[in-house]
Amino acid sequence: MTGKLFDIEHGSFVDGPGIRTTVFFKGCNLKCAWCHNPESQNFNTQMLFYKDKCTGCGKCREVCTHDQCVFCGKCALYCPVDARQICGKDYSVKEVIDDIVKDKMFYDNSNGGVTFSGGECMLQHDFLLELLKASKEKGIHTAVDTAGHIKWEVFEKILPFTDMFLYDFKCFDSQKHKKYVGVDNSLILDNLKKLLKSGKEIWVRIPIIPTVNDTVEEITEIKNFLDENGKPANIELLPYHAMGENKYRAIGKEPVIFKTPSDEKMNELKAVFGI
Amino acid sequence: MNERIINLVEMSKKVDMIPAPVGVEYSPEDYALPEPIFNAKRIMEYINAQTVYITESNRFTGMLRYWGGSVSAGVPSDSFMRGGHTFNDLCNKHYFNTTENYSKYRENLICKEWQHSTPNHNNIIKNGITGVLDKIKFYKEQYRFEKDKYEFLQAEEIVCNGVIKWAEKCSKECLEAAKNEQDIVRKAELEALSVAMHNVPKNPAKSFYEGLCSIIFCFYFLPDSVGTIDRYLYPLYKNDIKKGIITRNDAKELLQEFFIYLSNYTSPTSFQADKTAECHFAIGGYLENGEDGFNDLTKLIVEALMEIDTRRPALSLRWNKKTNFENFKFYLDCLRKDKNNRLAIVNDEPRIKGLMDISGMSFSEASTYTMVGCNEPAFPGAMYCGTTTGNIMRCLVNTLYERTKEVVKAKTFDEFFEIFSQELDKDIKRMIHYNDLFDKMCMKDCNVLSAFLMNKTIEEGRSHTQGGSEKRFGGLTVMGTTNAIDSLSIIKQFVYDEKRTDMAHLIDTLKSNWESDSDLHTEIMREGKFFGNGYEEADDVARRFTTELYNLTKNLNTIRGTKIFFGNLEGYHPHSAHFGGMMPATPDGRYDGEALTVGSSQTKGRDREGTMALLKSIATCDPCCVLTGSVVTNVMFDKSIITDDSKFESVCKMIETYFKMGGLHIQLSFTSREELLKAKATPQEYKNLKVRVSGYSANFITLQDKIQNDIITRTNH
Repeated sequence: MTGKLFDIEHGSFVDGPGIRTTVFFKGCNLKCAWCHNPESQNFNTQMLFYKDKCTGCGKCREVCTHDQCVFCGKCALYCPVDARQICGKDYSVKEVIDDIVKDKMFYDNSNGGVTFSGGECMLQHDFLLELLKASKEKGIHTAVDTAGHIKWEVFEKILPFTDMFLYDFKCFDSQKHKKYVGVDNSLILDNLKKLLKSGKEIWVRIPIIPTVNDTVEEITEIKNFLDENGKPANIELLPYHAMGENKYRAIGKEPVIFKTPSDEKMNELKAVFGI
Repeated sequence: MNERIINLVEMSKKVDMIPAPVGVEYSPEDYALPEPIFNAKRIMEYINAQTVYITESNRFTGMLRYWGGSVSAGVPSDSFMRGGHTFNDLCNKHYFNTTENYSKYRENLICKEWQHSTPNHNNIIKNGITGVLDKIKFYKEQYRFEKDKYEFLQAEEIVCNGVIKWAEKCSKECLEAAKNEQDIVRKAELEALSVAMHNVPKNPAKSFYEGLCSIIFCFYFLPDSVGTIDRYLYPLYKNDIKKGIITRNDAKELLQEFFIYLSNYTSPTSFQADKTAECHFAIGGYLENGEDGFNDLTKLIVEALMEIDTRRPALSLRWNKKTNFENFKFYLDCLRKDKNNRLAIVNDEPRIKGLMDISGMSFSEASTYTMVGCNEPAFPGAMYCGTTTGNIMRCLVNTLYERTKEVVKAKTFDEFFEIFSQELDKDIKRMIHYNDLFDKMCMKDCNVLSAFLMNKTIEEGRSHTQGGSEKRFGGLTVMGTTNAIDSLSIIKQFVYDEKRTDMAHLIDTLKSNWESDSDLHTEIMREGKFFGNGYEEADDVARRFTTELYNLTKNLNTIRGTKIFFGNLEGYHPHSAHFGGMMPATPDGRYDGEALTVGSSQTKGRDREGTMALLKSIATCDPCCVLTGSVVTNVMFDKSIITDDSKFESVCKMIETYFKMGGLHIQLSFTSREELLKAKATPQEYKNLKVRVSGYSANFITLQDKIQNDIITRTNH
């Protein structure tokens, strides 16, 4: 069995407790306007072309032996300015586990582990399940980072092998959710309610996007929902950052431009949760 | 921090806190004396003619310089640091390169560097100089028929009596100053200093204060590392605290003033003023009984240093498996916040193992080491005997370029490695030859002033520089260890494992400086299995390389009797650029003339898998613990780590794990490639940006261009 990933990042401090390896799955069923990994949304292998880096040297054309791109990677390998990048590769379970297990000593020493993220990792749930099982066999702590827009049966399938969830909560208002994310949030909220009752450790992550959800009122609605349905173990407010904007252009799209929220705004919103 | 200390810190940044030297008229009759006695007599006449250091607020005294303006001691001062060793200076004249012309590098293989002599202050604190004099008396009798040794001991007797006399002069003048002092507090301080100098260093120290007085007084006879002060001052400290003689705060203030004088020994107007390497010592670590030595004084030393804005001293915490995590975290917290970037960490485990396995030391002996200089391990009372910097890549170049016919015929990597090992063996022996040659010259220096502070000199009747002293740590410091591992790894991968090219083509391409097959260069740079990425293939090659270093040197000694340990730090001069500048292209993707890599780190795009992969590779690359000499591992962390406490805990755990895996050393800079590039472009805006260089830290903008470039390309987390 294989699955399509677009990155495996070692030494993450931000995707759960301790030191972690984060495995990024390709493909997503949401279209968040602020997504900073736009290359993660498409399920297929893609070419990222950074036009502003290209010098027009023609090396990519010179080395290419195909009429149609088959993502062999030769153009990216030989591009002298790294203007090309292949995104998305098929991995077997063994390949991923062999990579993850290299850092086991770091996990053990820091109460860390592996986080499966994306994209939306739960859309490749068979592959995810095998990775979770294999990780647990190796004694590695597992976390699943999800936006939650998937049928509950998939959660049920992976729950026994998942130690914790990182759950995205973008906004409470369903119409606004549909406008900026592409779907309404009813399934997401239902799943979160169930997860909060599941006994698993849940960290809720709220991206703060100016003009979308950066008001005390909006954040208070989220807080009220969590208070009513079971407080998560941790709440993180993540300020928007513009680091992904260039990647939109690299896949032939234009980014929606947001501003980064100020420190004062972040502190104001964190105060709603008392953090 | 009180106002007195604040004022002292400010003063130390502007002026020399050492009296201007006083010239002396010597008697021409001295020329009839045997040389060591001549030197001893004159140096002690010089010292006793100097002005006693008394200011409005000092609580220590004895500060000395041996030269200044038109005044010099007129004899070899042998105060190690800058001048006074006749033959060492002659050797430097021919073999120590400080310019860009490579002229003094020999065969593009080696050049001379500095040595360190680390005083045993604890011996003076415990036994006093009277203890040394008793020993001299005994051994004079033993050596009464051995002229050289007898004369040396006579010289040491003159030095010891001269030091006692100097201390007594300081005591008397402090008492005189006290009599004339109106301020009650200041009067009491001067009286206390007078009492202390009347006792130390002549007799054993009776208090923590006297212990510090003794160290700082003797520091000016051998201004190198003060050693493991948290262990040898601890009994005095603990006793004084218990008896209510001092408070913890009093002790902190004394330490701060002590550090200020150590720091100020490097003049604020000197071109070395921003470098921490001028004074470095270690804290914590295994005690002789196997317990961890981090105590309250250890913590106090760090706290005291953090409060004062001085460039020195540098500290290395000796981590070991028994180091309490909260103490480790406390130290790392200070490290990340220290704007003077004075702190680093070393690991007892591989170093002590190496000392036991290779040098044959017992655990209790090996556990007494300290850190000195840029980042050399040393023992109090002994010399660090690595006086050279070498080029470990030359043998690889010779293998490929001079023995082409043979390597082209090699069918396996093992066959290739066998040829390489022959060249490695030749170059190691050649480096040892030069190391010994330089030492033979320097061993003609008889250092009478500092010898009484070194172990076994009295027993052997000769100075440490002549070869008398014990537990020396020595070996070869070399540039290019990472380049060598990378080149071997690339050869194995591209020629033998994946057969993407053959040896003949690779060598032809190298000879063309990659021009004849630039695609091959691209493939290597993008797909090569470089060290520091956690690739098992490259890590295996690294282990093979270090094990070969061990195998080739385990039965060798230097002329001073030390076993060979390897190091890779650079010091103040860009040897890596000089050696690389004279070498052609190499399989690791280096172009003709490109600088070699410094330390154990990875740079220039060859590090793809991040900091943890780098640390893992470094931690596991040396199973024989032979690369435990003057080794440095540099890592850059993003500045946000300084303020983001949520990430900080994970950083602590990351570094702890690295040490648990066997990593020897780490020093951290908190900056980014972008900031460093900006600093290079507009240095006037980054005057205070400090970075760890090669065992020491310095202001980035004062570093030579080539050293700046190396730092910019380091692995960044």
